[in-house]
Amino acid sequence: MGNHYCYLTLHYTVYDLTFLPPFCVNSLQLPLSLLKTAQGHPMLVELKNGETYNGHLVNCDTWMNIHLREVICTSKDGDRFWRMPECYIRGNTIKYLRVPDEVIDKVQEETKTRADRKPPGVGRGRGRGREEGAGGRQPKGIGRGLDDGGTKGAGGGRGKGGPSGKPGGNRGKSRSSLHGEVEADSDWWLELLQMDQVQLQCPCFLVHP
Amino acid sequence: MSAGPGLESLVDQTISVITNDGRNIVGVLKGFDQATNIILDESHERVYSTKQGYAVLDSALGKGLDPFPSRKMLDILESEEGVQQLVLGLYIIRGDNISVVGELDEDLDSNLDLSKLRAHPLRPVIH
Repeated sequence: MGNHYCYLTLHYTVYDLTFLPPFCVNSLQLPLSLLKTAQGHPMLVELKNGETYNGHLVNCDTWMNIHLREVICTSKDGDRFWRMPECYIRGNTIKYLRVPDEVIDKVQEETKTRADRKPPGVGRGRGRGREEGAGGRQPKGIGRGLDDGGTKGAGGGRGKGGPSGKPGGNRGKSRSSLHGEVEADSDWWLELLQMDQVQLQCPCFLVHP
Repeated sequence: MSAGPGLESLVDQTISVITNDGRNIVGVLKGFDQATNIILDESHERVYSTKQGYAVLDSALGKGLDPFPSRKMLDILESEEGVQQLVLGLYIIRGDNISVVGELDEDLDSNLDLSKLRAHPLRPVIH
């Protein structure tokens, strides 16, 4: 039993260090997260060749490829215009994007709620109930984090499979309910299994091509 | 600015960026990534020139400035100011397009009289 809780604590520490990239600590945002947050908003994109595209962002990816709807394209000289229902722009042709000012506030809100969702402290003195509560929520937190953080595209793909798609989702549920009701000694391996899964979702494990 | 590589120490500070197409954009650094894509909040462009009025507009348009702000720009450019400041707002600048990132001394900067400053516009980077 004792060992079991030791593992859990370690687990949280690993999660904290790996999931949060070093720059998430301040109010620092990642440009691609901001872009993701700007989904649905109007924006102006200037390409390296000087053309500008005004439209609503439908989607974007980690290469900054973007999908716009209701687009007005303007030639470099600003004298010719084209309307098109949608267009897809390869990320590396972009010079800059101008996004509505309020988007930065949204992304800050999102990171804040993400921080709130983080397990509360890892102090030794914590009761075991607390740790379990956090443990139950945790896989969800990670899944979300990868999704809207979008730090690395690779992360998204692998990470998504875990909590919802695979048996992990079920396991997570039954696990937390089990812990809510009974403290079965035989459950510790389940926790370990879960831990493995969590680790698989951590960005640092996904850096290889 | 503390020692160490990267732009961490400049976050939430006012920085001045020179882009490959020769623009100078000043704003608050809100974020960056490994590719030096950066988020600039409350940003504005400083258009340097030795000339006045429409000549500035022509050169600005030649650099591919989008035509919508330039309508507003028109009024500004007709005035006799030296360095024009165009409000840009929240910008994501792609790292490919960034030549120089520098911190801005806000005290020094606020003491500048931009209307008396004359400078040639920068030419774009040639690869």
